[in-house]
Amino acid sequence: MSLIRIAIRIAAVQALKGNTLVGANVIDSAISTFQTSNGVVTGIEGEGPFVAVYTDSASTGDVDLKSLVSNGLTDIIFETGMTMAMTETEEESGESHIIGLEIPATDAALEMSMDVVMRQIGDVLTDLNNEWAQIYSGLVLSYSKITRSRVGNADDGTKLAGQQLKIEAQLIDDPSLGDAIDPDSAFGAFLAKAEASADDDLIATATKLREYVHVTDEGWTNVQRHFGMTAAELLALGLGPIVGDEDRSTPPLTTATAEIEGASPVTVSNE
Amino acid sequence: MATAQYASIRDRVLAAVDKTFAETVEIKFLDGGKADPDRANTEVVAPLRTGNIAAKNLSGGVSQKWKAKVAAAGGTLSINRATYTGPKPQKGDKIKAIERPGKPFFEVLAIDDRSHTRLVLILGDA
Repeated sequence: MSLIRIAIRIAAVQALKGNTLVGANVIDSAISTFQTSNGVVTGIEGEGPFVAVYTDSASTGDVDLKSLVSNGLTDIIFETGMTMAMTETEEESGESHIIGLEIPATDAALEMSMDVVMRQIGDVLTDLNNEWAQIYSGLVLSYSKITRSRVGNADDGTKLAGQQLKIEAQLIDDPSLGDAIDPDSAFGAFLAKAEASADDDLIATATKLREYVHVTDEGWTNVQRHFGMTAAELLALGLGPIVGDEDRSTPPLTTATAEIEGASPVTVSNE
Repeated sequence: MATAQYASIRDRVLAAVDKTFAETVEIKFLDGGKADPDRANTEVVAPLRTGNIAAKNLSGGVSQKWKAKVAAAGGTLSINRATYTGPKPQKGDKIKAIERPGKPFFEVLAIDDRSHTRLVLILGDA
């Protein structure tokens, strides 16, 4: 739905990878199922316990005219889950333990591991020294509601524990089409960090996002697009091209001089 | 224990079914997640039935609250009571299907021990 949603998921995933009990098994918008391993899980990669990051419903009541770039309040969802098949099982004894905690995989231990992961998610996202976490934080203005929930069931073919952290967050607005991206802005920092990464997919994503925002017809057209105004509306506000300019080639108004009888002319510039 | 009149026929039926459908599995007896010192691990030959794998979200239902899904199947192990002499299985024990590819583990989630024919272990993937 928006570029900031993409950025915030990527930043959260990159921040969390390797920094919680689930290791690198942090997935952006996991739509496919997490497969319970058919045998013995020997490491935390692959089909081990996981964290999945989603951006879900969003709403905003604070809209600039007909602008469609505000993100408003967006649900950011972190889900973590572990089934008995995602524990490390010793071939001979059949004993399972939770990877990273090294305690037997009892019901209490499954629940505890979920609590640990959730606590770690909070710590990582507020970690001063984690550059991705700082970028994530920059994309958010504030949190308005935090909901936590859990599940635990053994009905569906395996014993499973899961926890969900749902954060209703006020996200920054998307950059408007044609806006220059300030390298010091949160989105600019996100693109720079992604482009500097060693991950080809991340670099390609950042390149694509830049392309989406970049258009060459800068000037008053950006204002019209940003507010979703018709040409007539823009003109009525005194921001559009002069009357009769069919091909809209009027340059943006940067300076105006008002000539006042009996006084020196006043020049106003928006430079 | 009194023997029911159908006992001999029952035992013949179970033996015939096992002859065709049973496989060897290992039972790993656990207590609190650790090897149970009071019950030595054993092997049993019994039909192990696993279901079709199904993907459900974490809450198990269709709740839209939960996004991530896990796939699991579980199964049942139906042990012939007439021939089983090992320790009584309990919830939390593990089954290792040693004749299947990858030798998958299952966890005993529940036990149906009321039937006179078989001790049915309700299994979850593990």
